[in-house]
Amino acid sequence: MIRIRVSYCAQARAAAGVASDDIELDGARTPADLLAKAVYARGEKLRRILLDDNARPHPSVLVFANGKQLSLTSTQPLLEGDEVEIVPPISGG
Amino acid sequence: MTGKKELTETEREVYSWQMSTPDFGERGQRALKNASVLITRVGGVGGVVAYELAAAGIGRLVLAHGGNVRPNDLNRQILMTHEGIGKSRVDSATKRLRELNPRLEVETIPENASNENAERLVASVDVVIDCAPLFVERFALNRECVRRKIPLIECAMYEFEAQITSLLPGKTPCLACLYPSDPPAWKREFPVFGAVAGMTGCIGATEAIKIISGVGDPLYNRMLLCNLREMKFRMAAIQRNPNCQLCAGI
Repeated sequence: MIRIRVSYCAQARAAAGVASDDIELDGARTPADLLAKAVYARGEKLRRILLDDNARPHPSVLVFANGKQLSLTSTQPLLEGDEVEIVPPISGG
Repeated sequence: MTGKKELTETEREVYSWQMSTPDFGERGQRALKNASVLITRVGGVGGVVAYELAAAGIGRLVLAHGGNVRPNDLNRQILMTHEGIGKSRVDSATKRLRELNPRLEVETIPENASNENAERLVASVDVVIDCAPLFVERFALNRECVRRKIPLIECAMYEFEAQITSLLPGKTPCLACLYPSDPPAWKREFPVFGAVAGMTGCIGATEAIKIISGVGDPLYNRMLLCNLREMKFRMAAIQRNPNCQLCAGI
């Protein structure tokens, strides 16, 4: 089991109701697994931001690990101690 | 950005503080004077971008923003005034900009960016600064900037947060690489403070000055993430999408 510190940005933060979570991953450790765990922990509002209708990561959500963008379809496992930021798109106004 | 208009003595005096930046100097100031920039919309973010570029001596601004000033614009849209409520936003913006810089050439287009007008909006400029709230506008500008291979500065904000990056077709991701489809659950109106919008606009204007003058390192292949609630500023590396339907071939 590994533990990942996840920070929520912008409307993901509002939907999660917290600025960050420590999420434990056991077995599957891809970015998609992490998003699914975050949604499981924080509920429906966050699901609408992070996942599409097929419960897959929404392609327009950016995920960074240690300051580098991750592919949402990556099968490369996250590592113990990784710091992940979930960054939904925002705009001007 | 390769124009030939020389600086006047008045301009040398007005811009003397920034021209004393060693790698900017008269060359950089002349580049600004000969540059055209499109700003879509001139609201909370875009209004500050326009004001800072007017102050810096940009030669020509194209301002695209539809509609009239509303009371709930005034917490952040600093080119608008209470007196201007019910009147054209681009006319209000132009008045304020010309008070600051009477030498500025301004073209106003009382429309928001769209698939129908993006080609026309982008046709005569060197750099585009995207400050629009709707992704349909942002995607239309991105498509046209990719087609013309010109820089697109992306400015975005939400509550106490901001995201800024500069996109250069063929060298960096385009907006469609980052956001291949409509963002989830995005709403036209969202929480934000004018001070956050202003900071976002100042960084966007700084990016434009750097790109036009060739000074410094623009936010190419990087996204600046600002969390003003906690005063955290982070730089994140962003990547091109090799399968991007818009820019993969260039």
